Amino acid sequence: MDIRKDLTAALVDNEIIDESLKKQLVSKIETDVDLRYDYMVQNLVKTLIKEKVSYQSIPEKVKSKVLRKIQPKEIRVKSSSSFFAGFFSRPAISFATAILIVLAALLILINRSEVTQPKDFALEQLGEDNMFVQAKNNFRSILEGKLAPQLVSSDPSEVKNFFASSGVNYSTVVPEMRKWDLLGAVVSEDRGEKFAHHVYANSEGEIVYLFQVEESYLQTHEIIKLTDDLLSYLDNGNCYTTLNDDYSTLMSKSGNNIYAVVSNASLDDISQSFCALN
Amino acid sequence: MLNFLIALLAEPQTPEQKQFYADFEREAVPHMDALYNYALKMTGDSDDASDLIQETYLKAFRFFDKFEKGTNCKAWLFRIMKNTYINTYRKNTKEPDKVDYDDVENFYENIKASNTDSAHLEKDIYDNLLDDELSGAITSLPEDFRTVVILADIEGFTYEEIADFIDVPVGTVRSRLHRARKMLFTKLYEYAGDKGYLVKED
Repeated sequence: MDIRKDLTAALVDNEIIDESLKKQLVSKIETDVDLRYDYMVQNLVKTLIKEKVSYQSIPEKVKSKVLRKIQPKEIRVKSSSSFFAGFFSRPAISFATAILIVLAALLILINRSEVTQPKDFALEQLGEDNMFVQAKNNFRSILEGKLAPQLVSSDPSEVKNFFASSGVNYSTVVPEMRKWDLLGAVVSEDRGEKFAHHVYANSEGEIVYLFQVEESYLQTHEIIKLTDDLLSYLDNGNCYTTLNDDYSTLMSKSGNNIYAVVSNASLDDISQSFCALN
Repeated sequence: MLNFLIALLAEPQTPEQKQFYADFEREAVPHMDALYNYALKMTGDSDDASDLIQETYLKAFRFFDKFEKGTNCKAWLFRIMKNTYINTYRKNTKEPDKVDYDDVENFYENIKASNTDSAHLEKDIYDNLLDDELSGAITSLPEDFRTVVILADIEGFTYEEIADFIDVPVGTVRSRLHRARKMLFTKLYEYAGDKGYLVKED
């Protein structure tokens, strides 16, 4: 009987449930020099790792830092208020310092938007599983006639129902646009997950393609991604627009969903219509 | 003034928000050690591991409402960490590691052929190797292989759990682990040879 060599790993790990297979493997190891060698190597490496590689717990400093970032603010302030209390109880500096701190905080808040200039996120969006790349490729397929709507409809509620009945597991937004007529929709599938896409056109024959995904998919599913800095940028309420391969491309967030919009219309036109979706 | 500042810093927390944090603390925080250890072995650097665990927990907290209560929280956290790792490190290194496995296999076969007995497989020979050398060898493995070794041999997960974490069939876990240990063996054999622990046969 031919036995796969990788079963020696399973034997070492006690992962063979089938007792008869286990017996066959053990007896084969006794007679087959090659298989025995493999088994000994697997055993040796596992034992060495177990004995020599130390298990390192998270340093307390790192743990506290992580917890501080997610703790509700009330708890955070409670633990740090003694410092502020001591600081402000010194009469010589209490009032003036407090005013300065408040002014500094206000200045930071006021100027925050000027400090965070948008960068060219498009350069970082790489790979077939990237939402930005997928949107661009899908739009190209639409223009080349390779991707046709599965549902032709100008009724937003019909399109929404189509998404839901086709297995899209997140809530979708299909906005009505003054300058754009809804044409239809497509539901794509990747490794069992369904995704919602729909298309608009205007009287001049320009097309807008909109691909929407619930943000959690980008964080917890391997099949679709966006870079973290672009996601944070969108999370902060920004709308990212760029001209990419001559197409106007826009990324935004509304509710729980991230939207990728690609069009052959001007960037201004699509920004006005699609930066704020409701 | 102090009260004003506290009010400025602290938004009032609803009972739901407090409960949300308490649930997260109960479900996710106990797995921090395992995740840190995994991050450390994956990145080979304590600063990177700290950044990775921080990003993972911030994301996990942000999307904790998507976590299905009663399912495996540790597996969910590992998946988030793995995706974060891929996003961050693939971006930095542009491409995942590539190793010509045929070269490793040939070297492995050469070791086997050049040793007529199994003396070079005795554990004592490798006893002088340090934790750092073994950890370094693990860190140098290609990502897919490194992941399964860490999860199986350091974290002690079953094949089924690993398959669930990394979204591949159990057979793939077994085969990767088998290959990964062979790769590690060739590295350890080289280390042992360089340090003079191996007695060459005449």
